[in-house]
Amino acid sequence: MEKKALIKIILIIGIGLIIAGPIIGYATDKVILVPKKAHEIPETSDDELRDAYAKEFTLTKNQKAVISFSVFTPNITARLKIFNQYYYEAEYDSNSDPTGLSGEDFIYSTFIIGQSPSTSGATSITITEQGEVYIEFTGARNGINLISLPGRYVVVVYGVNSDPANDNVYFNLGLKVDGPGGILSSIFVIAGIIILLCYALLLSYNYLNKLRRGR
Amino acid sequence: MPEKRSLADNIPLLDKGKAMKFIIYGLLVAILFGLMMMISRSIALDADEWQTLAIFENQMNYEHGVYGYTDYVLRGDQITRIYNWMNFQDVIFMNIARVGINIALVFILIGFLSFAVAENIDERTRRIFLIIAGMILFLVMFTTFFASITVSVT
Repeated sequence: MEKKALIKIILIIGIGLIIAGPIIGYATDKVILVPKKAHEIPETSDDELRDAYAKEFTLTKNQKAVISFSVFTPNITARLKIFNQYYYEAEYDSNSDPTGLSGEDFIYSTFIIGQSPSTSGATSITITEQGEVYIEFTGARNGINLISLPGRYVVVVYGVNSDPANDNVYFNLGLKVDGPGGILSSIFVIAGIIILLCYALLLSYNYLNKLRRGR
Repeated sequence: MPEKRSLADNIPLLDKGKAMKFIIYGLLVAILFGLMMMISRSIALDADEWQTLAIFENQMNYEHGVYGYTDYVLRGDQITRIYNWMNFQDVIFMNIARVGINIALVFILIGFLSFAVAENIDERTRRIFLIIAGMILFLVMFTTFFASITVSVT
Protein backbone atom coordinates (compact mmCIF):
# COMPACT_ATOMS: atom_id res chain seq x y z
CA MET A 1 0.00 0.00 0.00
CA GLU A 2 2.85 2.35 0.90
CA LYS A 3 4.53 1.62 -2.43
CA LYS A 4 1.31 2.49 -4.30
CA ALA A 5 0.98 5.74 -2.36
CA LEU A 6 4.61 6.58 -3.13
CA ILE A 7 4.05 5.93 -6.86
CA LYS A 8 0.98 8.20 -6.82
CA ILE A 9 2.96 10.92 -5.06
CA ILE A 10 5.70 10.65 -7.69
CA LEU A 11 3.07 10.98 -10.44
CA ILE A 12 1.53 14.07 -8.79
CA ILE A 13 4.98 15.64 -8.35
CA GLY A 14 5.81 15.03 -12.02
CA ILE A 15 2.56 16.58 -13.27
CA GLY A 16 2.90 19.42 -10.75
CA LEU A 17 6.40 20.28 -11.99
CA ILE A 18 5.23 20.36 -15.62
CA ILE A 19 2.32 22.68 -14.74
CA ALA A 20 4.40 24.87 -12.42
CA GLY A 21 7.29 25.29 -14.91
CA PRO A 22 5.69 27.82 -17.27
CA ILE A 23 4.01 29.67 -14.37
CA ILE A 24 7.28 30.07 -12.47
CA GLY A 25 9.04 30.97 -15.71
CA TYR A 26 6.53 33.75 -16.38
CA ALA A 27 6.68 35.04 -12.80
CA THR A 28 10.50 35.21 -12.75
CA ASP A 29 11.00 36.32 -16.36
CA LYS A 30 11.88 39.83 -15.23
CA VAL A 31 13.22 40.98 -11.85
CA ILE A 32 11.74 44.33 -10.85
CA LEU A 33 14.42 46.60 -9.40
CA VAL A 34 12.28 49.73 -9.39
CA PRO A 35 8.50 49.32 -9.63
CA LYS A 36 7.01 51.79 -12.07
CA LYS A 37 6.00 54.81 -10.01
CA ALA A 38 6.25 58.58 -9.81
CA HIS A 39 9.48 60.25 -8.74
CA GLU A 40 10.30 63.82 -7.84
CA ILE A 41 13.61 65.62 -8.11
CA PRO A 42 14.54 69.28 -7.74
CA GLU A 43 15.10 71.51 -10.77
CA THR A 44 18.73 71.95 -9.74
CA SER A 45 19.31 68.42 -11.02
CA ASP A 46 19.71 69.95 -14.49
CA ASP A 47 23.00 71.56 -13.33
CA GLU A 48 24.15 69.34 -10.47
CA LEU A 49 24.55 65.60 -10.76
CA ARG A 50 24.11 65.13 -7.01
CA ASP A 51 20.48 66.34 -7.23
CA ALA A 52 19.60 64.05 -10.13
CA TYR A 53 17.72 60.78 -9.66
CA ALA A 54 20.10 57.80 -9.79
CA LYS A 55 19.56 54.07 -9.57
CA GLU A 56 22.38 51.52 -9.79
CA PHE A 57 22.04 48.12 -11.39
CA THR A 58 24.32 45.30 -12.48
CA LEU A 59 24.16 43.41 -15.75
CA THR A 60 25.61 39.96 -16.33
CA LYS A 61 26.36 38.36 -19.70
CA ASN A 62 23.35 38.51 -22.06
CA GLN A 63 21.23 40.18 -19.40
CA LYS A 64 19.10 43.11 -20.46
CA ALA A 65 17.77 46.06 -18.47
CA VAL A 66 14.37 47.45 -19.39
CA ILE A 67 13.47 50.99 -18.34
CA SER A 68 10.03 52.50 -18.81
CA PHE A 69 10.36 56.27 -18.64
CA SER A 70 7.45 58.66 -18.91
CA VAL A 71 6.34 62.19 -18.12
CA PHE A 72 2.67 63.11 -17.71
CA THR A 73 2.96 66.53 -16.09
CA PRO A 74 2.83 69.81 -18.02
CA ASN A 75 5.82 72.15 -18.07
CA ILE A 76 8.25 69.32 -17.36
CA THR A 77 11.29 68.46 -19.49
CA ALA A 78 13.00 65.31 -18.21
CA ARG A 79 16.15 63.69 -19.56
CA LEU A 80 17.47 60.19 -19.00
CA LYS A 81 21.01 58.89 -19.44
CA ILE A 82 22.75 55.67 -18.45
CA PHE A 83 26.32 55.83 -17.17
CA ASN A 84 28.98 53.31 -16.32
CA GLN A 85 29.16 53.26 -12.50
CA TYR A 86 32.82 54.21 -12.25
CA TYR A 87 32.31 57.14 -14.62
CA TYR A 88 29.24 58.21 -12.64
CA GLU A 89 31.07 58.05 -9.30
CA ALA A 90 33.91 60.16 -10.62
CA GLU A 91 31.52 62.80 -11.98
CA TYR A 92 29.41 62.64 -8.81
CA ASP A 93 32.45 63.54 -6.72
CA SER A 94 32.93 66.69 -8.78
CA ASN A 95 29.14 67.33 -8.96
CA SER A 96 29.30 67.76 -12.73
CA ASP A 97 26.57 69.17 -14.97
CA PRO A 98 24.75 66.04 -16.25
CA THR A 99 23.91 67.80 -19.53
CA GLY A 100 27.56 67.65 -20.62
CA LEU A 101 28.18 64.00 -19.65
CA SER A 102 28.30 61.16 -22.20
CA GLY A 103 25.83 58.37 -21.62
CA GLU A 104 25.98 54.73 -22.74
CA ASP A 105 24.22 53.49 -25.88
CA PHE A 106 20.71 52.09 -25.65
CA ILE A 107 17.67 51.57 -27.88
CA TYR A 108 14.21 52.93 -27.21
CA SER A 109 10.70 52.43 -28.57
CA THR A 110 7.59 54.55 -28.47
CA PHE A 111 4.23 52.84 -28.74
CA ILE A 112 1.73 54.07 -31.26
CA ILE A 113 -1.38 51.96 -31.91
CA GLY A 114 -1.43 50.74 -35.48
CA GLN A 115 2.16 51.66 -36.28
CA SER A 116 4.65 48.94 -37.15
CA PRO A 117 7.12 48.15 -34.37
CA SER A 118 10.33 50.12 -34.66
CA THR A 119 13.20 51.23 -32.48
CA SER A 120 15.93 53.85 -32.46
CA GLY A 121 19.34 54.13 -30.86
CA ALA A 122 20.48 56.96 -28.61
CA THR A 123 22.73 57.89 -25.70
CA SER A 124 20.10 60.06 -24.00
CA ILE A 125 16.36 60.60 -24.24
CA THR A 126 14.35 63.74 -23.54
CA ILE A 127 10.63 63.90 -22.87
CA THR A 128 8.88 67.27 -22.82
CA GLU A 129 5.39 67.82 -21.35
CA GLN A 130 4.26 64.25 -21.83
CA GLY A 131 5.28 60.97 -23.45
CA GLU A 132 6.49 57.49 -22.69
CA VAL A 133 9.47 55.51 -23.95
CA TYR A 134 10.55 51.93 -23.42
CA ILE A 135 14.33 51.65 -23.14
CA GLU A 136 16.35 48.46 -23.60
CA PHE A 137 19.98 48.40 -22.49
CA THR A 138 22.63 45.67 -22.42
CA GLY A 139 25.79 47.77 -22.21
CA ALA A 140 26.39 48.69 -25.85
CA ARG A 141 24.74 48.65 -29.26
CA ASN A 142 25.50 48.48 -32.96
CA GLY A 143 22.77 50.34 -34.79
CA ILE A 144 19.59 48.90 -33.29
CA ASN A 145 21.25 45.63 -32.32
CA LEU A 146 22.09 45.29 -28.63
CA ILE A 147 25.53 44.08 -27.58
CA SER A 148 25.98 42.55 -24.15
CA LEU A 149 28.59 44.32 -22.03
CA PRO A 150 28.34 43.10 -18.43
CA GLY A 151 29.05 45.62 -15.73
CA ARG A 152 27.66 48.03 -13.21
CA TYR A 153 25.61 50.93 -14.49
CA VAL A 154 23.59 53.83 -13.18
CA VAL A 155 20.44 55.26 -14.72
CA VAL A 156 20.21 58.99 -14.14
CA VAL A 157 17.24 61.32 -14.65
CA TYR A 158 17.39 65.10 -14.45
CA GLY A 159 15.26 67.93 -15.82
CA VAL A 160 13.62 71.32 -15.56
CA ASN A 161 10.18 72.66 -14.73
CA SER A 162 9.20 75.72 -16.79
CA ASP A 163 6.48 76.65 -14.29
CA PRO A 164 8.02 79.48 -12.20
CA ALA A 165 5.83 78.52 -9.24
CA ASN A 166 7.14 74.98 -9.09
CA ASP A 167 10.77 73.90 -8.71
CA ASN A 168 10.22 70.16 -8.92
CA VAL A 169 10.52 67.78 -11.80
CA TYR A 170 8.04 64.87 -11.86
CA PHE A 171 8.50 61.72 -13.91
CA ASN A 172 7.63 58.02 -13.85
CA LEU A 173 10.30 55.38 -14.01
CA GLY A 174 10.37 51.62 -13.77
CA LEU A 175 13.46 49.42 -13.99
CA LYS A 176 13.54 45.67 -14.65
CA VAL A 177 16.32 43.25 -15.56
CA ASP A 178 16.08 39.80 -17.12
CA GLY A 179 15.47 37.11 -14.53
CA PRO A 180 16.07 33.36 -14.47
CA GLY A 181 12.56 32.65 -15.77
CA GLY A 182 13.56 30.88 -18.98
CA ILE A 183 16.06 28.53 -17.31
CA LEU A 184 13.78 27.79 -14.35
CA SER A 185 10.85 26.98 -16.62
CA SER A 186 12.97 24.56 -18.68
CA ILE A 187 14.38 22.87 -15.56
CA PHE A 188 10.94 22.34 -14.03
CA VAL A 189 9.39 21.00 -17.23
CA ILE A 190 12.32 18.67 -18.00
CA ALA A 191 12.34 17.37 -14.40
CA GLY A 192 8.59 16.71 -14.61
CA ILE A 193 8.94 14.86 -17.91
CA ILE A 194 11.80 12.72 -16.55
CA ILE A 195 9.73 11.81 -13.47
CA LEU A 196 6.73 10.86 -15.63
CA LEU A 197 8.97 8.77 -17.89
CA CYS A 198 10.40 6.95 -14.85
CA TYR A 199 6.83 6.39 -13.60
CA ALA A 200 5.80 4.92 -16.98
CA LEU A 201 8.91 2.70 -17.08
CA LEU A 202 8.26 1.51 -13.52
CA LEU A 203 4.65 0.64 -14.34
CA SER A 204 5.71 -1.21 -17.50
CA TYR A 205 8.39 -3.12 -15.59
CA ASN A 206 5.92 -4.17 -12.86
CA TYR A 207 3.36 -5.26 -15.47
CA LEU A 208 5.90 -7.31 -17.45
CA ASN A 209 7.10 -8.91 -14.21
CA LYS A 210 3.54 -9.94 -13.38
CA LEU A 211 3.09 -11.39 -16.88
CA ARG A 212 6.32 -13.35 -16.57
CA ARG A 213 5.38 -14.80 -13.18
CA GLY A 214 1.85 -15.49 -14.40
CA ARG A 215 -1.25 -13.96 -12.74
CA MET B 1 7.37 -30.05 -10.93
CA PRO B 2 4.95 -28.55 -13.49
CA GLU B 3 6.64 -27.33 -16.64
CA LYS B 4 6.99 -23.52 -16.82
CA ARG B 5 5.27 -22.15 -19.90
CA SER B 6 6.11 -18.74 -21.31
CA LEU B 7 3.53 -16.40 -22.81
CA ALA B 8 4.51 -17.55 -26.31
CA ASP B 9 3.77 -21.18 -25.39
CA ASN B 10 0.43 -20.21 -23.89
CA ILE B 11 -0.82 -18.27 -26.91
CA PRO B 12 -2.53 -21.16 -28.80
CA LEU B 13 -4.09 -22.37 -25.55
CA LEU B 14 -5.57 -19.12 -24.23
CA ASP B 15 -8.93 -19.69 -22.61
CA LYS B 16 -11.97 -17.64 -23.61
CA GLY B 17 -11.51 -15.18 -20.75
CA LYS B 18 -7.89 -14.42 -21.55
CA ALA B 19 -8.58 -14.25 -25.28
CA MET B 20 -11.38 -11.75 -24.68
CA LYS B 21 -9.03 -9.71 -22.45
CA PHE B 22 -6.44 -9.65 -25.26
CA ILE B 23 -9.10 -8.38 -27.69
CA ILE B 24 -10.41 -5.72 -25.30
CA TYR B 25 -6.97 -4.48 -24.23
CA GLY B 26 -5.87 -4.45 -27.84
CA LEU B 27 -8.92 -2.38 -28.80
CA LEU B 28 -8.34 0.06 -25.95
CA VAL B 29 -4.69 0.54 -26.85
CA ALA B 30 -5.56 0.96 -30.53
CA ILE B 31 -8.21 3.58 -29.68
CA LEU B 32 -5.80 5.47 -27.40
CA PHE B 33 -3.01 5.55 -29.98
CA GLY B 34 -5.52 6.47 -32.68
CA LEU B 35 -6.73 9.37 -30.54
CA MET B 36 -3.16 10.50 -30.01
CA MET B 37 -2.57 10.44 -33.76
CA MET B 38 -5.74 12.41 -34.53
CA ILE B 39 -4.95 15.04 -31.88
CA SER B 40 -1.44 15.40 -33.25
CA ARG B 41 -2.81 15.74 -36.80
CA SER B 42 -5.31 18.35 -35.65
CA ILE B 43 -2.53 20.41 -34.01
CA ALA B 44 -0.49 20.30 -37.21
CA LEU B 45 -3.46 21.30 -39.39
CA ASP B 46 -4.43 24.22 -37.14
CA ALA B 47 -0.89 25.53 -36.64
CA ASP B 48 -1.56 28.31 -39.19
CA GLU B 49 -4.47 29.71 -37.16
CA TRP B 50 -2.39 29.62 -33.98
CA GLN B 51 0.47 31.45 -35.68
CA THR B 52 -1.86 34.19 -36.97
CA LEU B 53 -3.28 34.67 -33.47
CA ALA B 54 0.14 34.65 -31.80
CA ILE B 55 1.57 37.21 -34.24
CA PHE B 56 -1.45 39.49 -33.65
CA GLU B 57 -1.10 39.17 -29.86
CA ASN B 58 2.61 39.94 -30.14
CA GLN B 59 1.82 43.11 -32.08
CA MET B 60 -0.85 44.15 -29.58
CA ASN B 61 1.46 43.58 -26.62
CA TYR B 62 4.12 45.74 -28.25
CA GLU B 63 1.59 48.52 -28.99
CA HIS B 64 0.39 48.48 -25.38
CA GLY B 65 3.93 48.78 -24.06
CA VAL B 66 4.08 45.34 -22.44
CA TYR B 67 7.58 44.94 -23.91
CA GLY B 68 9.90 46.71 -26.32
CA TYR B 69 11.24 46.15 -29.81
CA THR B 70 13.91 43.56 -28.96
CA ASP B 71 11.45 41.37 -27.05
CA TYR B 72 8.93 41.83 -29.89
CA VAL B 73 11.49 40.47 -32.38
CA LEU B 74 12.50 37.61 -30.03
CA ARG B 75 8.89 36.59 -29.49
CA GLY B 76 8.34 36.67 -33.23
CA ASP B 77 11.19 34.17 -33.60
CA GLN B 78 9.72 32.01 -30.82
CA ILE B 79 6.34 31.99 -32.58
CA THR B 80 7.98 30.83 -35.82
CA ARG B 81 9.88 28.09 -33.97
CA ILE B 82 6.78 26.81 -32.17
CA TYR B 83 4.83 26.90 -35.45
CA ASN B 84 7.47 24.71 -37.13
CA TRP B 85 7.45 22.28 -34.19
CA MET B 86 3.65 22.08 -34.33
CA ASN B 87 3.96 20.98 -37.95
CA PHE B 88 6.81 18.54 -37.30
CA GLN B 89 5.40 16.86 -34.17
CA ASP B 90 2.83 15.18 -36.41
CA VAL B 91 5.60 13.06 -37.94
CA ILE B 92 6.87 11.94 -34.53
CA PHE B 93 3.51 11.09 -32.97
CA MET B 94 2.16 9.49 -36.15
CA ASN B 95 5.04 7.04 -36.21
CA ILE B 96 4.67 6.29 -32.49
CA ALA B 97 0.95 5.73 -33.04
CA ARG B 98 1.71 3.47 -35.98
CA VAL B 99 3.88 1.23 -33.78
CA GLY B 100 1.33 1.24 -30.95
CA ILE B 101 -1.63 0.47 -33.19
CA ASN B 102 0.22 -2.40 -34.87
CA ILE B 103 1.09 -3.89 -31.47
CA ALA B 104 -2.55 -3.51 -30.41
CA LEU B 105 -3.71 -5.21 -33.62
CA VAL B 106 -1.35 -8.10 -32.88
CA PHE B 107 -2.98 -8.53 -29.46
CA ILE B 108 -6.43 -8.48 -31.07
CA LEU B 109 -5.21 -10.99 -33.67
CA ILE B 110 -3.96 -13.34 -30.93
CA GLY B 111 -7.33 -13.06 -29.18
CA PHE B 112 -9.28 -13.97 -32.31
CA LEU B 113 -6.85 -16.76 -33.18
CA SER B 114 -7.33 -18.24 -29.71
CA PHE B 115 -11.08 -18.21 -30.26
CA ALA B 116 -10.55 -19.81 -33.70
CA VAL B 117 -8.64 -22.79 -32.25
CA ALA B 118 -10.77 -23.22 -29.13
CA GLU B 119 -12.33 -26.67 -29.07
CA ASN B 120 -15.48 -25.82 -27.13
CA ILE B 121 -16.85 -23.48 -29.82
CA ASP B 122 -18.92 -24.65 -32.80
CA GLU B 123 -17.25 -25.03 -36.22
CA ARG B 124 -19.09 -22.15 -37.92
CA THR B 125 -18.23 -19.62 -35.20
CA ARG B 126 -14.59 -20.72 -35.21
CA ARG B 127 -14.48 -20.19 -38.98
CA ILE B 128 -15.83 -16.63 -38.55
CA PHE B 129 -13.18 -15.88 -35.90
CA LEU B 130 -10.51 -17.24 -38.22
CA ILE B 131 -11.69 -15.01 -41.08
CA ILE B 132 -11.65 -11.98 -38.75
CA ALA B 133 -8.13 -12.91 -37.58
CA GLY B 134 -7.04 -13.19 -41.20
CA MET B 135 -8.46 -9.76 -42.01
CA ILE B 136 -6.64 -8.22 -39.04
CA LEU B 137 -3.42 -9.96 -40.12
CA PHE B 138 -3.86 -8.57 -43.62
CA LEU B 139 -4.40 -5.08 -42.18
CA VAL B 140 -1.28 -5.35 -40.01
CA MET B 141 0.86 -6.54 -42.93
CA PHE B 142 -0.51 -3.87 -45.26
CA THR B 143 -0.03 -0.97 -42.82
CA THR B 144 3.44 -2.22 -41.94
CA PHE B 145 4.70 -2.27 -45.52
CA PHE B 146 2.74 0.59 -47.09
CA ALA B 147 2.66 4.25 -45.96
CA SER B 148 -0.91 4.97 -46.97
CA ILE B 149 -3.76 3.56 -48.97
CA THR B 150 -5.16 5.68 -51.77
CA VAL B 151 -7.90 4.99 -54.27
CA SER B 152 -8.05 6.95 -57.52
CA VAL B 153 -10.85 6.82 -60.02
CA THR B 154 -10.25 7.97 -63.57
